[in-house]
Amino acid sequence: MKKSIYLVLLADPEFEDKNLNLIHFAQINFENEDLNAVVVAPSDQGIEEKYGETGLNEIDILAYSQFSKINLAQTASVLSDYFVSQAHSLILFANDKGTTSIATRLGAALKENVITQANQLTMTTTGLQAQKKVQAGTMLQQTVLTAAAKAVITCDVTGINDRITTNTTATITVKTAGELVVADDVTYADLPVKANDLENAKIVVAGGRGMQGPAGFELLQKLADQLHGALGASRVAVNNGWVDESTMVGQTGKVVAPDLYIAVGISGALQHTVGMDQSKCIIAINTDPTAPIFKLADYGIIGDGETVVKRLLSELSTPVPS
Amino acid sequence: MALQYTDEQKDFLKMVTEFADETLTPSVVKACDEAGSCPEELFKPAFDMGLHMLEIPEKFGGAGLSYETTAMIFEKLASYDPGYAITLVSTFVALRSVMIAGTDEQVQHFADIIAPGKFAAFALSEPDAGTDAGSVKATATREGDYYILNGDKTFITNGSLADVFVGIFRTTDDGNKGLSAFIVEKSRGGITAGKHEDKMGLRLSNTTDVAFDHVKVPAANRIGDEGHGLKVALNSLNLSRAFVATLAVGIMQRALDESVKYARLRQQFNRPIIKFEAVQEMLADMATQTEAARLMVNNTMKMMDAGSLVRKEGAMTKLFVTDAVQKATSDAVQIFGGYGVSKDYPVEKLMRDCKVFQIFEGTNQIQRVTIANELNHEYRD
Amino acid sequence: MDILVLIKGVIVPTQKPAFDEKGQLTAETSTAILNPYDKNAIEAALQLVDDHNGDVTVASYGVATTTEPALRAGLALGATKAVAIDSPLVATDKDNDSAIGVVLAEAARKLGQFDLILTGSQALDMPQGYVGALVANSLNLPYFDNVNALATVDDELVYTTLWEKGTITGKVQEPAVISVTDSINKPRLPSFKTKMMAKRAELEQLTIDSITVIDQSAWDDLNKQAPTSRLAPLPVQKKKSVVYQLADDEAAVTKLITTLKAQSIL
Repeated sequence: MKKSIYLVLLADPEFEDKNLNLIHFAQINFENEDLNAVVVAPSDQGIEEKYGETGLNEIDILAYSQFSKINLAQTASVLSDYFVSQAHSLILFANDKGTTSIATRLGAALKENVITQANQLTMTTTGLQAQKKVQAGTMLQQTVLTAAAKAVITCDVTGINDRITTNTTATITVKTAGELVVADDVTYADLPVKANDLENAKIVVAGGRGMQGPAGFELLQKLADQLHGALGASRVAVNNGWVDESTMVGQTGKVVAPDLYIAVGISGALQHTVGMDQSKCIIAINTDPTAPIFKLADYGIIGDGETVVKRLLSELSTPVPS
Repeated sequence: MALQYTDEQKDFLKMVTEFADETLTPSVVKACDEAGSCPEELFKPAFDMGLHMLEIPEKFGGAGLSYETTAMIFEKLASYDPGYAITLVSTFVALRSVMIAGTDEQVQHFADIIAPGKFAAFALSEPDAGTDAGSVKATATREGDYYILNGDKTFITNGSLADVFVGIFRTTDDGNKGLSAFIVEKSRGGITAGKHEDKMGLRLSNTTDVAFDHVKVPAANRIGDEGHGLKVALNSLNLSRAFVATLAVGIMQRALDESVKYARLRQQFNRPIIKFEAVQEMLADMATQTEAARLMVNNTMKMMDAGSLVRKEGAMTKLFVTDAVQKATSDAVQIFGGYGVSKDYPVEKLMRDCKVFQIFEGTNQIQRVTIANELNHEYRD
Repeated sequence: MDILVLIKGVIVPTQKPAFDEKGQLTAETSTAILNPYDKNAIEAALQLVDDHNGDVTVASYGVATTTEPALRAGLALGATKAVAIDSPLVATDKDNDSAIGVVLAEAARKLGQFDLILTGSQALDMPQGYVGALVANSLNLPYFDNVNALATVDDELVYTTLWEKGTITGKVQEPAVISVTDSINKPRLPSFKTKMMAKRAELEQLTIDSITVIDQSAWDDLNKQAPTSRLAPLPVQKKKSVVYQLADDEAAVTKLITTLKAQSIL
């Protein structure tokens, strides 16, 4: 059955990467549906260029100069006023903290179902099935909404590529926002960039004997920075004084379990692997194909660490959003 | 684990595990072990949880746990570090003298002192009175409503940490019958702790000499009657032997955990060493001995909860468990091979920590004497 | 300052999970515990009360087998009162987060005047992070979420919300609803003494049999639209190494990056 699906796109640099991810996510999940969007922005300037050719059907722009990403209550109120009089079935948001905060407020104001962090949406004959990870990511929850049910859904769009090819041009309408509630009385501050936070890093780039010296670790640090990750090291590298002791991973160092562990020039002695073998994904880069690290690895490259890291750096030269 | 824990005991074990995982991380324990001391603030979270008040009845402000449950909690704690555990257990040794022979007012007074997070110490041993507790020389001289305490005590666990002592002092020259027990608050003045022992193991625990110099305590601080001091001390020690043993079970369990984990991971000749029979034998013996030790402790604790003074059983438990822990820890080092003697690996410390268990709270030699004397007594008539 | 902390008994697996015909964890393979995120909310409440005097009440909606462990854990941490909430108005065969949020709001109103209503940012078993918004909206109170710091500055409560790349700071206009992150504080461990007391404590019971905080029609709509949900195990992905040879394959690095991106690892 036809649904009337709205994507909420917040025109703030903090969210813009994810806006495109969200559009693509919706296109993947709702191949046969028309996708509409409501863009909330300080002005209608540049919206058409950004979203006009992205495969959306209709775009409504709610433009008012007070718009700011940090006015959570005000933005939710503007959206609530809009959706009260706009027929809709699903309202989709990307899954940033800020967008999720607005989505839950909107859901509460509309008294509709809210599903956060959905990673898959499927139209079925009876309605919609939303899937998300639950129980600290160890299980899936599949929620079935009836055909008539409305829902505000935040979508886990990380990893959804923003390659969108389409020929359609959206119909764009600029709407004036109704009477605004008082803007939130808040201030925003950027988070300081953290020093090497090995234990909490989602990505760890670690090196061992194969890096051959401090210069090798400078390369690894660059790769870690580019991936918004932290630098790790084996005991050999620390003992040789190539890198600070605080980076040591293993029996006598730190125990880490990042989403991604890149082990470069590390053979994989037990001393080291007890500190990283719980990582979700392990990439091993080593010249020795018989190195034990390959037994743990999901992916591997047999080759010189320095060469491979330099290539990774050049291929990844556009920073990956954290 | 052989024991059938109640839901309540499971809850408590979870609490202490959570606490120890956070407080006694391998790096913290290693740093303290190297330094040979433990910063007092490391005990703050233990005091916040009331780990030093477990045995004290609720009406005096404690948690009112049984000996059995308390022992389970301390076994778990000792598996992280027995020196840390014994620092808290030593408070109980002092406390038990008061609980066995003291008045309600004395128990309340003692509990009030330690409740906010203070240590207590039991001061019996002297340079010439170790195993032979009856030869205590430190004196308590009556002066009106007060006693004046003088003398030197040695190997006192918590010696420089304690805010309150239970000390055994000589009130008359009448040999074993001339000793009396006293609650001695640090605040009375005249108490000085000597040099902190640089020990082989249990390096997180504080062991010093303590000198009492004209310490004036009210007669109301005397525990039980004059002349009953040795009995108070020995009864308290009887109840404490199985507690020493429970810490040793914690060390055994740690030795077993580390050994099995390592033997499963360590590869030689292309297979994990746990597949080799020689290693299997050591592990099987270690596991069996640990179970037996734990059961023995548990049974003695149950007897204590039922009111027994466990003269024989306390000695047997201490003897068996603290002998068994020597082999378990030594085998753990053996299984780790060359890494076993490295301070970067966890098992050499277990070996160092466990040795003193054969010596303190009555040497294992004197335990055998006690057991034999009790047997002789049992079979008389 | 009197604070109500809304807590949840979350159902977590205790062993390899098994699912019943409704797609829920079987009783044999699961247990109810206090939602770890709610411990942060209780800790935040206790710290505020330490500074300003007052009482911390914990309240939880659900069947006794899930609310009781959560409420007793709340008492063991230091809450002064615990309330178990139930309601015949909520269908038990649906996934009714929204209805529960409204019932909690109703309960909060019935339980008295609170300066703050706190809750954890999400539930461990079913992370949604929706309850706080619903309670605030139903009670017409300001709502602050993802709060990572609460501090009293010049007699006013100042909150800081944590986002991916920045923080938002503002003043809390009491009464308000606040959901806190799990990094706002380090929850204290219960003491053995309070744990023993919590085991014996009386739990208050509150049954919600009418809804006044929102319109009847909105309430009916909410219930009519309630979804159903099932749990399922994560599809097993067998670990099989994919190894590229740099010497034979010039494009090894490119291939690796493409694969990683396709798998959403990068």
